[in-house]
Amino acid sequence: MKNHLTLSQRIHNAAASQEVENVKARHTYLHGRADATSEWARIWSRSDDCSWAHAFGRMRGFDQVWFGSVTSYDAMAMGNWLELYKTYPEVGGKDPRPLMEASVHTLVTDIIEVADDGQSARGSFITPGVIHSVLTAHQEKYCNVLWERYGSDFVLEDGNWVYLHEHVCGYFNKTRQPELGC
Amino acid sequence: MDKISRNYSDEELITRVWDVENIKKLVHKRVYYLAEDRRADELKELWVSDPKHQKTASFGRNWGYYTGMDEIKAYYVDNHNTRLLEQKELNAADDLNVGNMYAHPASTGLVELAGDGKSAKGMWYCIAQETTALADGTADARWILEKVAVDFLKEGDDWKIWHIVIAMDLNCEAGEAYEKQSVYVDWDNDPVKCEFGVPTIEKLLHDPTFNWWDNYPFMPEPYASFCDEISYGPEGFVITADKVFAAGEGRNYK
Repeated sequence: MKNHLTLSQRIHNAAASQEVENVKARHTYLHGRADATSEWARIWSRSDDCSWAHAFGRMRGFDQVWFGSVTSYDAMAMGNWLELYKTYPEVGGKDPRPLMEASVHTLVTDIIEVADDGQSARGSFITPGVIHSVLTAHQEKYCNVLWERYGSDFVLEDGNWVYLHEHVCGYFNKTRQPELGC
Repeated sequence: MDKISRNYSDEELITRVWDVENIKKLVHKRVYYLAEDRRADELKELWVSDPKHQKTASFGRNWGYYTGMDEIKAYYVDNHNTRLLEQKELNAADDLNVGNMYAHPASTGLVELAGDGKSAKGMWYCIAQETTALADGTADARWILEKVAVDFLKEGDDWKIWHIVIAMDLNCEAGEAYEKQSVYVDWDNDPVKCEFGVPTIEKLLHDPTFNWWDNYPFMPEPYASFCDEISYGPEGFVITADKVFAAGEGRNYK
């Protein structure tokens, strides 16, 4: 309990914690549509210091993060669409990005700490997620089970909470679990 | 704080924080009511009670909406209870719901309280499990993945559910290889669709064949006050020109 903060500061930090929770959930719902453009355009800092890390390492600076998380991700979606359209002609005219897959990183077990000055926040989350898709190049739908842990830093920019850093640590990625029916 | 909340006094802001926490609790309570199959209690205690709001309440699934609390109750409680009585008799069970399970834990909450504090919108995702006991002593156990979108109203001091849309992405039998199942789902034999019956407004709201391409239900955004355009009731479902489709449309070209 941060008793040294005034009541007003505590109220504002409680509201900030809820805002950060929403930012994190927005990530899930935007990523579920593979809408990387909206995700990085809306809820990320443009800072040269921002970073996004996974098992492969860390992307640093907004331009590198954008290339890795938006440009390259869109390329995967376009490539997937080019493999789909002859087998499934109904994909014509539809945004290729959500057709790639629904990557749903559900969020539980959150811990959010807002800084005393109310200008930044840090969060931990566990995601017992699923990645599923129906129309695929190999003509078999799939549902992968993917559990990960997030460490996230957020900053308040122009009155809006945005990501500054994200570190994703995989727990396990189990593809096609017939014993779970997925 | 977002651009809206920065303009609130401390007292207004703590009221908003409190409201959001109560809205989260309301949705979590619904999960427990569902698990205990207390559907009538859910409608009575967690849903709107003002007759004006009850008239415009709605319950949507992939295939349409039930509108008005009478229609919702007929589907959600009465028809369900009739099926449970039939199951009890068929299974020679001692009681209703013997061997059944309804687990829909809610995760990934996103709550947007209106600027005027009178309404709110929220979204959750459930990796759910439902089991139905069968007469031969076995059970039909299913994994169900679903997005849940809710409109809330404040009635007096209490937050209540007004509109709900449960958009199912996947429904597969546990223990069966999902990838070996038919790519196109036979919805007419889907247990959730069969249970949903024929809604007041029959309309394809979410076709998971294309994952989340149709973007329904859409994610809640910050807003000042409630209007039909952003509703999770039937008023807010709009098929834009680039989303004109019927299930299977464009599929048959060789």
